Amino acid sequence: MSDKHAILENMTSRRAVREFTGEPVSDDDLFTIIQAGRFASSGGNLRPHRFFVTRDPEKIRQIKAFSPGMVARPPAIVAILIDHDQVAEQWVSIDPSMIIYVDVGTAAQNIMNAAHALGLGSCPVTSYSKSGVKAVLGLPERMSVEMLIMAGHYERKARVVNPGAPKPVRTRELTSWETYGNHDPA
Amino acid sequence: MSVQGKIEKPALTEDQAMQLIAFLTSSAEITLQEPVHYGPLRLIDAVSRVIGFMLENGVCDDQGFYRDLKSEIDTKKLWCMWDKPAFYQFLRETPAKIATEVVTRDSTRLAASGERPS
Repeated sequence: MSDKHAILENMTSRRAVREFTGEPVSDDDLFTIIQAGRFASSGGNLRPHRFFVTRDPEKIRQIKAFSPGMVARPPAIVAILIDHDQVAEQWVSIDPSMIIYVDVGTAAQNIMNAAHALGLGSCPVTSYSKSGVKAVLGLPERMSVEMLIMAGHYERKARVVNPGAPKPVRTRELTSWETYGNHDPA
Repeated sequence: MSVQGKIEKPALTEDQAMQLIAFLTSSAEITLQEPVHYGPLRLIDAVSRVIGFMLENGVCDDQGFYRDLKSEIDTKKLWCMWDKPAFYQFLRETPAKIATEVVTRDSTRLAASGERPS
């Protein structure tokens, strides 16, 4: 498989993983996936995001306590933070929030794709108490926690399609060519 | 439920209660911005967590009832992601199931104490 196809295959085969083995994630792997996040596109190249990594079981237990959407206890968590002082100092727009969240999203997607490329499972978590997790992580006032990403080794299982699941969305149906509603390029 | 002469163990330890407090206060915060059906999801998930602690602490007279209820909740709560009508139906049916159990237990307890025939 060419590099080009390997990258595309990696992007389209990644799935959210919510069950992890207890195997620890290495420092190298965590550094690699965070580096992928750091290389994500950023509005105005301002890069207001920071990364907080924990593998401490006690801290993970505390984060999970304030994260109703975290259904697993992963061996590692990467929190994507925003430095609001940096945003206030550098930003030129009246409302930076949209670009901030786009930056969080691009970094998160790079992190999850990189994790998948390394054979790790990952899953984003947004259902958590921002104030609770911030306090658990001991962050300064200017920082906010914008997304949590669970990461860890996992056992590959056959994909189960739930009987009531909605029909998969096709790329063609999402796409208009030249005129809205025209789903074919011709 | 209290039974005369039985030494009651607490259903939750302080640490477990604190975990529930963290879960419920976090849920209260995040439901301000989450989809509306996540509210019921968090509540029913809290029930599962309470039962989990009770089973862990060995305070259930009838472990089977609680174990089955927890198992059912843990399976059907996920329906909110792909089959909302079935999830809502499950929510509507669950209190009746628990009410039936409460009535049965109360009748048995009262009959045993001689207060009222079962």
